[in-house]
Amino acid sequence: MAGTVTAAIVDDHPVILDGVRAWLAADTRHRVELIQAALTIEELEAGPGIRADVLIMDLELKRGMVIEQIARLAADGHRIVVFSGHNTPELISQVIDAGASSYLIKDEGPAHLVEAIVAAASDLPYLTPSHAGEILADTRASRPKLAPQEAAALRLWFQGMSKASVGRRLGIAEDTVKDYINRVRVKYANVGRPAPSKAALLTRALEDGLITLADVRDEYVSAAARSRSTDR
Amino acid sequence: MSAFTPAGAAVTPSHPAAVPAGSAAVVFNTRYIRGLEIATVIVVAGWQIAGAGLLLLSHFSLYASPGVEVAAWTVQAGVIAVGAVLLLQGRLGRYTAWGMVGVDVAAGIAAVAACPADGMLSANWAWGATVWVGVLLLLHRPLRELVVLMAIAAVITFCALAAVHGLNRRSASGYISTLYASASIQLAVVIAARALRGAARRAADAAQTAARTATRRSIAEAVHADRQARYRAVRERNEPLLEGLADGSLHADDPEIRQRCAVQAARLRRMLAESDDVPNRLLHELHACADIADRRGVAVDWATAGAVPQIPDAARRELTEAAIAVLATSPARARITVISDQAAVAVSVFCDSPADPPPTIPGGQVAITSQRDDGRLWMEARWQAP
Repeated sequence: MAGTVTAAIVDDHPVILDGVRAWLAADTRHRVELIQAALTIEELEAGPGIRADVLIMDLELKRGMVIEQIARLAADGHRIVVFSGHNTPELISQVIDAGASSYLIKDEGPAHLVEAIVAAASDLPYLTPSHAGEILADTRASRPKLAPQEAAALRLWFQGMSKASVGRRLGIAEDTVKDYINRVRVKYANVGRPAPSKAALLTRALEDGLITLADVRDEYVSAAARSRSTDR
Repeated sequence: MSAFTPAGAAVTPSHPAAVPAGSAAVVFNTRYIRGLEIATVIVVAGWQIAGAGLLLLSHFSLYASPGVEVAAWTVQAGVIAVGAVLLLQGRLGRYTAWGMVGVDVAAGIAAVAACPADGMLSANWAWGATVWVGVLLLLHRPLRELVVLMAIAAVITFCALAAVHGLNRRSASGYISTLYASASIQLAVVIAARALRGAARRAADAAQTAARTATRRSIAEAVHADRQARYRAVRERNEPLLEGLADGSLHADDPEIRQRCAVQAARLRRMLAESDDVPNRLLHELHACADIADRRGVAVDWATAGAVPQIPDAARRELTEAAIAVLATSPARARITVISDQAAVAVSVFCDSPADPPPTIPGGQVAITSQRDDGRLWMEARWQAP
């Protein structure tokens, strides 16, 4: 990824805005530039932020949950990182199904926000520990099938280990751990409503060789084929 | 799979395989619904052979085309056979049922069309048979769907009657009395079956509630006795510690004594939490342990994934004991996680403790794995349902 990623944030708590600014500034490579901080979605859409590479959105604004608005923005092609105080699996699954690229709970901000934004801007997967918990809790019959090593890596990542520690515990390289966890994220890319972010994530993963056509089911393949024919 | 929805009743699980084991619905489904299905198959197959079949044979020479009649009868018998198998296997879904009703009605139309002009009512076995086949196919569908089929069958014969005779007083009165006789029997059978089904469901629910109450009472008694025993155990371990601190033989600045105090404090806190009546005891008790650590200045981060299943008391205590042991090593930060599925629970503590992993806990119901890596301590205590 060349150059700087632009981001805009919608959050109605000033202290969060300050915290996010601080975390972005703490990134030694200054990969993310915040171009707008809005209190409402309307304010974001009226300003320059709507053209940002990635939107950072709080899940609960003054007027309530904004899952529908997230789905609308995702359907319009925006890359969205949701940053929320809520940590219930049902909510996380709804937000990801609606087309958000990543889900972070507020505790995960310092360690994961910049990485999640940078990944989302390049259509690369990024799975936070809270999102890993949602996937571990998933009992839907339609849930994607995980390989045993992928599930093992996911558990340790959820339990708080760094990817390097997960690698040492499982006796594999750190990059392999990243691949396993990212592959889990990609396998969930086409659950829920269709969104450009999901198709792009899948296409990128196929191109990078992270997954193969054999790893994913028919519906993923057809979605990826669709996005290839329209995007390229 | 067909979700059976009796007219005006709530949706209930449709088949033995579709409901969780141990619920009243299982007893109800396996015992009563299966009986109702078998009875329906016998009644419908019996009618096709003894009722429709004898009517067909006794008027055999009168039909315009006996071959068509026999073919139609055979097709309906085939629909009954296939429908019965699907019904008993719980695979008779809405679209399958109505697809087969289509075949049934088509055979019925062919048979009615080949009826003799003066036997449009007396030799017309297919009118009743078409509906009886529907009684089987639409057993788990709303009653109104069967009524729709009855109307279709009645209209077919009405049209045939009007075509060959025109409408006159004699044909109309014959038609109405035949309609009344057959429809009232069919509806009576179906409505009675549905009423029985409702009564059976309520009886199964009541029996289950009574059994549950008895179980709860015996559990409460066992829990009480167990708790008394644990009070004694905690007192026996606390007393020497408190006495030692009081008479100066143990020193509060000794790290080992501090750790013993931390463990005892957490145990006491857990025991108090155990007496709380909460939906999930394991999480509640772990929260209590995390609380103690929190008060000692440990930044505790906490996450769960999946619904925690029923865990035997002894195994649950081993799981929390493992977490207590790690948290008592005085880390600055700790992450406690609980991952559950229907048959297993893994409690993990990941922290920056300088101490070695605690030894495994006697009891042996819980498997404990731990690892020190990069200055951090990771421990996972895992219980698997036997």
